[in-house]
Amino acid sequence: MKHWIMLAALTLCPAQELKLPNAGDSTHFAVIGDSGTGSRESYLLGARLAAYQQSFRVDFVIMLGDNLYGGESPRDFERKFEKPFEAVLQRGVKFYATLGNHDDPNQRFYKGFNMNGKRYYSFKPKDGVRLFCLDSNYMDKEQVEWVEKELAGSGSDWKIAFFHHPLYSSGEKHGPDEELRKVLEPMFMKHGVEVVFAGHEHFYERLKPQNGIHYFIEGGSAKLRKGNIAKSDQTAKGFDTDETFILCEVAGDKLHFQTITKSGQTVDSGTITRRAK
Amino acid sequence: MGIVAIAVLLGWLGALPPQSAVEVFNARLAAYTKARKDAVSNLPSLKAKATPEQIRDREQAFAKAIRGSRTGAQPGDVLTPEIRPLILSILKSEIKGPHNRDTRASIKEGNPRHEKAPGEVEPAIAVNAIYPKNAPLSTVPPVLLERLPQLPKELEYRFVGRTLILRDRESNLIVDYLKEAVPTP
Repeated sequence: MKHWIMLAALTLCPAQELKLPNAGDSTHFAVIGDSGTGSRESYLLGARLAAYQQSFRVDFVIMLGDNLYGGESPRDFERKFEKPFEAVLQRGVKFYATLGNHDDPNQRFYKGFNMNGKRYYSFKPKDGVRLFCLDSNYMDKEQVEWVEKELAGSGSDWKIAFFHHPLYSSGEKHGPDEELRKVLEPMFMKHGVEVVFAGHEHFYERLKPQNGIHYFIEGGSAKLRKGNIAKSDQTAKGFDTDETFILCEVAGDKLHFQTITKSGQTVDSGTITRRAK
Repeated sequence: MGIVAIAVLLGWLGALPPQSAVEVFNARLAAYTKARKDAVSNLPSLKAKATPEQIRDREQAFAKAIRGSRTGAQPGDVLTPEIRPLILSILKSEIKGPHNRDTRASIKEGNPRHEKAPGEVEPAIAVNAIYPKNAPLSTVPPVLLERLPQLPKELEYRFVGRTLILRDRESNLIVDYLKEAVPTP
């Protein structure tokens, strides 16, 4: 009972400490990762995100994989996604998912994840911004060719990639996927990808730019691996003691971000300026 | 069929060149996809924006139809004795040794032997067995996907422990497997 009172209070209370410009014509989105537990924490995080929606319009949410841990029955879709994020969904916000290693690839057909039956896809929420969702579990030749072609054809848009396995990470449990990095990073550099979001590690980390690219890890939206961020000179900010989500706003040549815990504390924020069109 | 018969015979004689082994493998893959297509041809297609119930029903119908079409399937029917040495040699060259540490780390990611969340299981490996929904899926690194024989879009390679499996993407069926495919470091 206490749980539901807390959720209701969170959803209704005005959001605090918004550090984003919140301009009307910019692109607003949220980032969550490894969220599919159906745990109390996932419900509280969903409620916190909904509370922030009262002061910050969220156009869409990207999900960084492990969208459903364990079983994937219709009841699991409800308990691990539809219910925790019910208030956000009710406002008509679309979620765009990528596949994690705990996700059955047939999730790509699920209407709530907006993958349209594809393991990898791109979408353009607004002029000047394009997001690329990749399947980092299975980077076959066909997908590599698609990434190359899709990035090459995306012109002067902001290019933001998201997938499950991080190319850089200070996590002691998993660490970076260096095999994947060898394949993806040269294409990202060649075609001007500015920002990359990944999950898998159950914490938040923002890396110092690597080869000009800003890498974020947000795999701590429903479960945490406390104390797992190893000391590294690559880390710009690491946080692993509360569940988090990221709010982002793309306005012209700036991408503003704010990382917020389920308790409402802002643990990181900043602005990324685009290198060149 | 003639090519397959000759290739199998040469394989028994231990004289099958890699190219012919791939041809045999491709013929088996083509036979699988043809049988699969025939088996599921009467099933309704799934919308790109389906409900969880529709996804579940489709998977179950696919699995039932495909299983029904290959009731006598045995290990080695697709991953034939001819192709196994080639696959094992590729895996050995890309996984074994101190210079392949990253690849070894990568195939442990999501591998049910190494990474199970609470409530998740390691699949029981058998031809026509369902790969359970509550089992994670291993990463297959790009370097392996580049070198291993290409698969039709209906199938994928995955690892369960040291076993390489061929998995049907839509039905979640284990189509065939190769035990002890991953070399020890």
